[in-house]
Amino acid sequence: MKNPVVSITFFVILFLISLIAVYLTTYIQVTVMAYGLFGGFIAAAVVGWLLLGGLSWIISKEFKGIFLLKYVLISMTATTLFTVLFTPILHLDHLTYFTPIFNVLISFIGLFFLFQILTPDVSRSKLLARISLFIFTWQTVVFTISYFSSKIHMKYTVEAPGYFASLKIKTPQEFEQDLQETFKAAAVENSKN
Amino acid sequence: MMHKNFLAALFVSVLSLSASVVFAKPKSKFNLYRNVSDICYQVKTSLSENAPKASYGTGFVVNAKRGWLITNYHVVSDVIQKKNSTYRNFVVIDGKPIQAKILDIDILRDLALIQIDYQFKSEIKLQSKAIKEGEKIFSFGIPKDLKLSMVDGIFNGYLENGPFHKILMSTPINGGMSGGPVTNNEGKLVGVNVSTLRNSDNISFSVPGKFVGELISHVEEGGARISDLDYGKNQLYLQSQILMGQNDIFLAMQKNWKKEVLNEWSVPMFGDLMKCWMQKLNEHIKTESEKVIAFGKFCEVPDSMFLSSDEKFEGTLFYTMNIFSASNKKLNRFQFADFLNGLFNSPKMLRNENYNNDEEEAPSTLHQCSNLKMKNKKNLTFQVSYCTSTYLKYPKIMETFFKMITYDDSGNNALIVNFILDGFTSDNAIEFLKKVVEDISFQKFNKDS
Repeated sequence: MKNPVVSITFFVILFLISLIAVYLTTYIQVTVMAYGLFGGFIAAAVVGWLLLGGLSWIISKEFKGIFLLKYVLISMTATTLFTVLFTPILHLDHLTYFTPIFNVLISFIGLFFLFQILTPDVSRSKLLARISLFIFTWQTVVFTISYFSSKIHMKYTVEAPGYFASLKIKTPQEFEQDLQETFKAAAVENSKN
Repeated sequence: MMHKNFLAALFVSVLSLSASVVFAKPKSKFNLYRNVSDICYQVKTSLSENAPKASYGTGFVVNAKRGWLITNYHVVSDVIQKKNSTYRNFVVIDGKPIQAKILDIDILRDLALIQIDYQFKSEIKLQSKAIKEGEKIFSFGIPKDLKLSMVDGIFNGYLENGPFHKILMSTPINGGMSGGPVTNNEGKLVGVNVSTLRNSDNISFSVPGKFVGELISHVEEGGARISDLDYGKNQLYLQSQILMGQNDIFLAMQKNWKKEVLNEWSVPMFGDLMKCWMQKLNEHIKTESEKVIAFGKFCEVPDSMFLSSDEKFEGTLFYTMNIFSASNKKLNRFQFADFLNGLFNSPKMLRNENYNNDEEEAPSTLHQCSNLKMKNKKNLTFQVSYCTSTYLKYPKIMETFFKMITYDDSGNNALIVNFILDGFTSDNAIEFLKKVVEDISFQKFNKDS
């Protein structure tokens, strides 16, 4: 840790691994979400937990240290703020290329803090458990927010890819039936006036 | 919107007018002007005889004894379109307004037959011989509330687009001349001034004279169902005319139904009924232009039916279609999806929200919407969003916004189709939408399969 070359190399490797891990996580999130929002949310959280948990296990193998809760909280808060701010501003839902970039950025900040605070006093299993908890919580927060932001978005526009993805595919006959029912509902609406 | 480039139109013609006096054959422009000035009058809408006019146009005598005049429907529509309207129509003769009664209307052609309690000395006669392209014609009317004016121009032929029939003229007509007659050099009726092409020089339209005769015959046969004072009855009559008109448009769309290739997609088109332009790409697309190849087409039925001058209405019933095909060249899956999302989300649909927010009276009911995924018989999966509502005044007339997106198997080629069907019945709209969805195919997909 004292050697600057080792530190910088580790810094770069850490960044690349976290980039791949988070990009993979996001890709899986989006893909799994095609089978339903709730299923996607659970699956993505689990996959993210496993992937980044694995990453943290590699880190903990090389550097023994103590995990300070306050840094975890800082990372989580930063993640939440980024998500809350950028989701509505940049129209970020699920299928957007901004999401993995911000995820990488945020996870990097979080892991950088972890790197800084690692000490040889904490057991590997404890460290793994704490990092896993952090990642799981992070994924939960991110996807809870994106789920509700998608719901809010839906209220004002009739289209949202995540919503479409969760829909059952209708046959031409079912499509016609849907048309019939919606047009009929419009006629009923008029009769109320 | 292109449909706003056309002012509402009117039709004038007489097939068999029981004229008591038909004006003499003019031998000069002087005679022509003098003769037409005897049958051409201002038609105004106002609260009373002496109240300031709310709107005005021109009308001309088609039956001197009965006091019948032809004008545009859009000139006199306020009286029958507005609930509890205190407006009345007047024909101004020698500066004196005489209250007029609407006998019948032809909403598709923008014509109205009105009657006043007055016996005229002469009436116009319908041109019986076929007029040829390039012949000189003369438009009459009272522009800008000034005085009767005669402008000469050229007859450029008939524009027949489904149920819409117009005469294309090179004649500088102006506001206030709506409803005025278009004659040949003998003073015989060729058409009725109806509209101009906005942002153009002297490109104008008139309603072929034969429709005037049809309207008069309809009244003489007792077919008219209109009354200045019965709002409910008028709305039903208007609705029946709109339904007939839109049914003709629907039939014309089916008759002209063709398939065209857009990029690698086969999409339905409607022949000459719809005019199409390459879609102007917005900023969002420009930024991705090197990474995505996108072609867009904007199509519309260039004619529309005038409904009302009420600002809460669009004023017209119209039909438009936007088609975009996009091929992904360099974007990743997320980027391409985001790009398509931008296309699919624009424009916004729900017009009613504005009215609800302002607590104004909306022209239509709240939109009923549906979002679904479906697979057509060619195995293409569509994401579909559509909203529909009915006009409060005309419960059978629907306003439908329809958007759909589909991909080929690779996920790198997409087609987005938007429709606005303003004026279809629910049965026709459903039939139309089903047919559009089934008629879309991806050519590479078909070749491989």
